Order: sequence, then structure tokens, then C-alpha cells
Amino acid sequence: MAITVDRQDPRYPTLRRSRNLRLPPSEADFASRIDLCESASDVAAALQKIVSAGLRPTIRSGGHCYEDFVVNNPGGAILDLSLLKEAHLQQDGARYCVSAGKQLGEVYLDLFKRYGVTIPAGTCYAVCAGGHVIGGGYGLLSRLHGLTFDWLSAVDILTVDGNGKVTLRHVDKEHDPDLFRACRGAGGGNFGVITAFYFDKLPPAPQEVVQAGLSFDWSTMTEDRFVSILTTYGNYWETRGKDPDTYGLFAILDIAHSANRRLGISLQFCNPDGTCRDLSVVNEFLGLFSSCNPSPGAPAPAGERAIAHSSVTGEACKGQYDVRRHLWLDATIAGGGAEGSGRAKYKSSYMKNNFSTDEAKCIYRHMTYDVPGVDLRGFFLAIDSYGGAVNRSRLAEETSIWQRSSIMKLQFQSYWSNEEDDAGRLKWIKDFYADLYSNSKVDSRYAATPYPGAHYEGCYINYPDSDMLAYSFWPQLYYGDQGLYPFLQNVKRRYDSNNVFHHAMSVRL
Amino acid sequence: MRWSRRAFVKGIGCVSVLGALNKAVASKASWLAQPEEIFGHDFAYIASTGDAGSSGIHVFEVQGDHWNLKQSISSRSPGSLVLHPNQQYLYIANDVDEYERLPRGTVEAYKIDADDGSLTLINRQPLSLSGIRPRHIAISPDSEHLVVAIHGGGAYNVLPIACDGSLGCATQILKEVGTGAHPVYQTCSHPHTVAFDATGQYFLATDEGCDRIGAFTFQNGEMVRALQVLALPASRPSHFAIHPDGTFVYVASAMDGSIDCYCLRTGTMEMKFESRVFANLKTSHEETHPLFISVSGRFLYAASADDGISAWEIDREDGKLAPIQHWKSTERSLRVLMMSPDSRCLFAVDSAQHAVLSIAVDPESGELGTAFTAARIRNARSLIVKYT
Repeated sequence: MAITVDRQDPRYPTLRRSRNLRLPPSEADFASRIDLCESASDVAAALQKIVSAGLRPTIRSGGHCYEDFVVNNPGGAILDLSLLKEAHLQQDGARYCVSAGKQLGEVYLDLFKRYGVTIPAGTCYAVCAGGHVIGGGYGLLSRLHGLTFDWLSAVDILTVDGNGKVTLRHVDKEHDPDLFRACRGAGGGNFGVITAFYFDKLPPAPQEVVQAGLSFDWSTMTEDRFVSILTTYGNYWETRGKDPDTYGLFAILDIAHSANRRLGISLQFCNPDGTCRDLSVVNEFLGLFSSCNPSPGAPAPAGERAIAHSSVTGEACKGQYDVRRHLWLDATIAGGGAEGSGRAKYKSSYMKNNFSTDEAKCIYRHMTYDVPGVDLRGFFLAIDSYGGAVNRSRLAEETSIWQRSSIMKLQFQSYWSNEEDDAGRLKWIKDFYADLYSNSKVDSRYAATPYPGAHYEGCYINYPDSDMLAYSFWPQLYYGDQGLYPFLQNVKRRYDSNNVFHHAMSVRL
Repeated sequence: MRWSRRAFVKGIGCVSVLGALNKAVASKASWLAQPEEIFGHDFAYIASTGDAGSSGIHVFEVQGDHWNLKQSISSRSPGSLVLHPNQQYLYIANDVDEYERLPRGTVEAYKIDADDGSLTLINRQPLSLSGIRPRHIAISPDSEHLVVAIHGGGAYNVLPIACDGSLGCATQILKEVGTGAHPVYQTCSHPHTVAFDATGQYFLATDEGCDRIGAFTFQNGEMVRALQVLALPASRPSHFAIHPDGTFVYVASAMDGSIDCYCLRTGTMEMKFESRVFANLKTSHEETHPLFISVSGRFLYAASADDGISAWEIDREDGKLAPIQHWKSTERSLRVLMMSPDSRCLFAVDSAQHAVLSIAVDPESGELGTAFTAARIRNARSLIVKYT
């Protein structure tokens, strides 16, 4: 039986909130209660109770949603799956099961210790599988092994039929294949409540990885050098980074606003066999930046997703660069990713090609522009390497992540503490984004957005940005313009015709 | 010349002589009556939809044989209208599917100028997320809450009404689920009409998406489902009218144009199907048309599929309907918008001639008589008259 935390419960003020303290926008928007579930049967019973009472359910696993899709539920109920941590059991032969409430750190530990395998997923320990996997799920091993749900074989999902009855479905390529495809990347809160993910096969966990970092001082930065850093980085992923021997290399170029001291690159690498015997790929990559005057070994600024300990811990490797060796599990668990709460705003884009000079200059301009009264120390533009095993084109048809041609994925992140800074921060990041994507590579009809085309590949639904709702074509930004969104709408009509599961950016009927 | 409501209604017969509709076909003669004393101004509020420029609320001063347009204000796709019981405020539901980039409709509150009837927007309040295309609104008898039937989102919202007439954020959201037999129109819940009973302790609601008629208790601004009755499969119950004595409820079917009679016992919260007449009601996918019962409880009126109006006599014992008259005017496409409180006049929109007609009603026989054009307006969708 679910644990119900209502307004009278002392736990309510803590459990009702988002990690992003900016959300929901007003006190009246909070849910009236939180139902904490410890088993799949708990979830089914609680969901039935919510629906029968005429309340709106929103679903939370780890609570890391970037927008208010879960916590903005006035009078409704949050179905919290964070206690749903049923043990991994090998069922039906080689099958692995991950409960929706498992934190990624727990998943890594369990899968490694029990089976020596892993999932290619995110770097934040406390992010839970539920929201992460259904929306895409990627991380430091994704260039080597693809997206998390590329490996997915089946899910257990609770749907609500047309007459309000909660139904448990085990869906895979043979059973409700349309719903299964939708569960592979369309994002959470659309079709039902996933309680468990099944994987018939998973890749072996690497034995070891190396991590390294470079940083660059803003105090000596010039526009030309900045452009050189970005285009050198982008050129690598557009060219050499497409070779399979580089797939084990994952890097993040973290550009902090110049109000910070540095910007930098962090990386993790292992060879395709899960060892670090041959570091030539790493040395080659780091060598590309020699002319950009880096500061080896100096810590890069840490955005939420940076490989934070990339150059300060671990066993030093012999060679020209400061490269540190770690056991893979240590590196994966220790990185952790930032936790805690604050005010934040995020945006995203996929890039299919290297930065143009104009794009790099635009970023430089905004990164060095001080806005009176707006403290921009908490802004980071994380430019993740992408592609590799992710870009197996056939998976675009099997899953709901259609972006299979990109070489970089950008995440715009802004963090601050005080409500009075909201307006300035939100305007700044919105203006920056609009300026960056108002260029000759974007059709004027879609100006200010990375609309899918020759250069861009839209946005990532797990980094949702409600600003995009301003555009009538927002579904095409997230789901492309090749028929995926209509497909998802049909799935919605079939499995949730009453739109029980909805939020600001859910698939619309 | 200023007319009171009664004088206005009673003057219809004279107006017809002066050039009102000469094609209106009534089975019996028109009724003439004596003018009464003059009171104050009456105002009519007509919601019209259409292009961005024509969608709005139009304020008419009711003067004798015609209505004078006094004000037109823009409003997005206004639908259902309701007057605050104190007559100082008007509320409308905006039949839209998006507001401020989110999938939700809105409701608007307007202040009515006591002298000239003009409207001033007080505020606009969004409905709950996914609550698109609100279809009907009603005010609780204590005047403190507005209840909204949200067709597109399958939900009801309750919004508080402040002393200044403004609407607060929804304090209750009731999400409905359900389907019906029709594969196109009944894939999900579609609340259609809400109305409070005379006691004010509960309200009825129809759901044309899943063939349901529900009764909800309503206390302290909170609605609680008390009763749910299934209508005939695929009948799509939509508009309804509660008999003045509270005993019978007449429900229009959006599927086949029939009218179902239900016996309602509020004491035991029972509702039972009694009878059905095939009334040939005017229906369409998008919209059905309201039913009206005379204040005497003797007659019921509805728009018919052939663009006329049918009049029915109500059997006070068993609620059964018996046809009285089928009223039709050539080259006109009519649907009833409102009945005057004294039941002496029906107001109908003529979508063919872009006019609002006033049709006299014989209080004794229930028959419709002479009609005249009260106002010229395109795409009128709903109407309410504020009487002094």
C-alpha cells in the first residue's frame, strides 16, 4: 500500500517540491498529495485510486525534471516511485530488470556487482531510471554503446483504459509494439507509468577508464582563440570522432560565462575492450588543443554534468598529458553529478556539424557580455560529444529518439539562488539561445530555434524547455518532422484517450 | 420610448404588424397584450464567433421593437454566458484550445455598467492544464463559485468568485474518464452542460463522451460525485433542462436528436429514465442546442433539425412530452438561445439571415406566435438578457 503524504503531513513541504526551486510558479500549483510506492502493485493501486477520485496523476522517479511537469499539479497527486527498488532478478534467462525507482548509481552498482554489465546512462547518481530511460538516457558510455533504451527489450507499464481502469501491460516488440516504441525515447508523463525496464542483453562494464581535463583562462581569452577551441572541438567529432576506435571517448566542453575564471574540457575514455591499454586516442585528442594555450591539470569549471574529478584524482598515467586512470566503477560512482536544490533553467540542441565561425563568435559574445544587475556566474554551456554508437540510423525507426546524425549535444544550464534574479536570468538565457539559432543555417520560418535540417537536429526531450512552446512547431523540435509526432499522437489516442497523463509538453491528442 | 421587459415582450404583436417577419408561420393567431409601466433599461449580451475581428461580445440596449448595439468587445471564441445573480457581472467561457502557449481554455469575468450596460473586463482566468474548449458554465446559488464543464479536456473546474466579481484560480479540478460506443465522438469524456438544481445543493452534468448524466453535491465550493446514470449507448447526452419543480430532467441527445426524460429524486439521490421522444433535434458534431422549459413547467422548446423550433407539452404526472407545434420560418435557420424569465418570449438566432429573432409565446397554449428581428449579428452563438 502506498504511503500517502498529504498537506497535514510534516513531510509534505519537502516532498511536494521540485529540485528546481523556481518551480512550480505559485503555491497554488502544488499537488495536494504525494503517494510513495514501494512495489508495482502499490503503484497500480495508487494510480487507480487517483484516477477514480478524478484527480490528475503526475509521475516522479528521481525528481530531476527540468520543467514543472511533475510538481505543477494543482490539487492532484504525485505518484512517487523513488521507493520502488525491487531487486534485479535475472528472469527468463539473461534478462535484466531495472525498477523505475532505482537511482542510476544504484543501477550501476547492482548490475556491475551481480553481472559485470552496465547500461550506457547518465552521470548523476541520484537520477532515477524511470524518467531517465524513457526520455533518452545517455552518458559517458553512449558513444561506445548507444543510448540506454537502445538496449531495452521490454517494459512493464500501467496504462489507464478508456473507462478509467488501470491495466498492467508488459510491452515489447511483439506486444503493443507501438507503445513499446513510444516508451523508447518519447519522454515521461505521456502514456502511463513505467514500473520496470527489461534488458535481454547489456554491454560489459569497462574495467577501467581514464579521465583528463584541460582548462582555459577567461582572463587571457580572445575571440580568435575561443573560436579556435570550439571549432577544433567540433571538428574532431565531425571527422575523427566518427571512427569506431574513438567511440570510447566522451568529452564535455564546459563553457562557463566569463564571470567565472575558466572554461574547460573534461573527458573520459576507455578502449572498446573496456581497458585503457592504448591511450593514443586520448593523447591525439588533447594534442589538438595545444595551440589554444590550455592549462593542463587545472580543474575545469563544473556544470552539473561535467566530469568533475577528471584531473584531480586517480592514478596518473605516463605521457605528455595529465591523464588519470580509475577503475570504471569508482569513476562512475564517484563522479556523482551535482545534487541539491536551487533555481535553474535549461535548454538544449543537437548539432550535426561543427560550429561555424559565426556560431562560435556568437557564443563568445554572450559569454563575455555582462548584463547589469544579472550575476551570470552560474551559467554553463555544456557541449557534449555525441554520435558513435548512438548514430545507428536503423534505431531511429525502432525508437522514439530520431536524432541519429548528431555529433554534439548542447545543454544550456543556468543556476542561481534567489527569486529576485529569475527575470534577469531567464531573459538572458532566452536571448542567448534565440540569437545563437537565428543564423543563416536556420530557415527564417524557424528562426531562434535549432529546427531540424542540415545543421541542427532539434532539441532533447529530457532537457525540456517550456520556452519552446512559443513556437507552434515545438513538437517538431523535439520529435522531428518525419512523422514521429503523429505516430506518438496515435499511440496516445490508443492508450490514453482521456489524456489522464499530461503536462505542458506532453504529446497532445 | 423605453419598455419594460414585460411591455417589450407584449409589444411583439404590434411589431409584427409594423413589418416584422411576415413569413413566420404560426398555427394560431398572434397575441397582443397591453403595455405596462416603464422600468429601466434592459440589455442583451450576445456572444459571436468567427474571424478574429468578429469574435466577441456585443452589448445591445433592448428598446421596444429592436435592440440597439451599444458596444462590441473582442473576446476569443466566446461560448457559454452566465450572469452573476446580482446582475453586476457577466462571465463567459472561451471555447479555445490554447492560452499562453499551454493547452487550456479560459473564462472571463466582466463588470456590467449599471447605467449603459457596457462591459469592462475584470480578469481572465486559465482553466486547468489540458482543459481545452470549455463548453458550459454555471454559478453556484451562493454566488461564490463558477463551475465549468470542459469538453475537450474531460474535466470540471471550480473557480471562486470574489466580491469584486473577479475569478480566482481553479480551486478544484475534477478529471473525468470514460468512453462511449461511438468510435469518433466518444473516445473520451466530454462534459457538456452543468446546471444547479433549485436547492443549490447539487448540480447536474452531462457527459456526451461517455453517455453519462451525473449529479454532484456542491458544498463550500467542493463538488463531490453523488450519482451517475448511464444514458442510452451512443446517445451523447448534451444540453438538458431541469423542470421547475425539480422532478424531471430533459436531456437532449446529440446523436439522434431525441429528448430523454429522467425522473429525479434528490432526497434519495435517484435518477431514472422515464421516456424518450424522437424530437428531430438539431445536432451536429460540434454543437447541439439548448432546451428550454417555460416557467410554468408546462412547455418545452427545442431547435429542430429542419431549422425550425418544436414546442412540447409536459405531462406533469409522468413527465412525458407531447408535441404542440412545429414552428418554422422559410429561409431561416433557427436555434433557440434563450427564454425570457416570464416565458413569454423565445429568443432565437437565425444563422441564415444573421439575426436574432424574438418569438412570442402564448402562455396558455405554449404555442409560438409572431416573431420579429431584434438584432442583426453574424455568428451569434449564445445570448443572455439582463433585465432590470
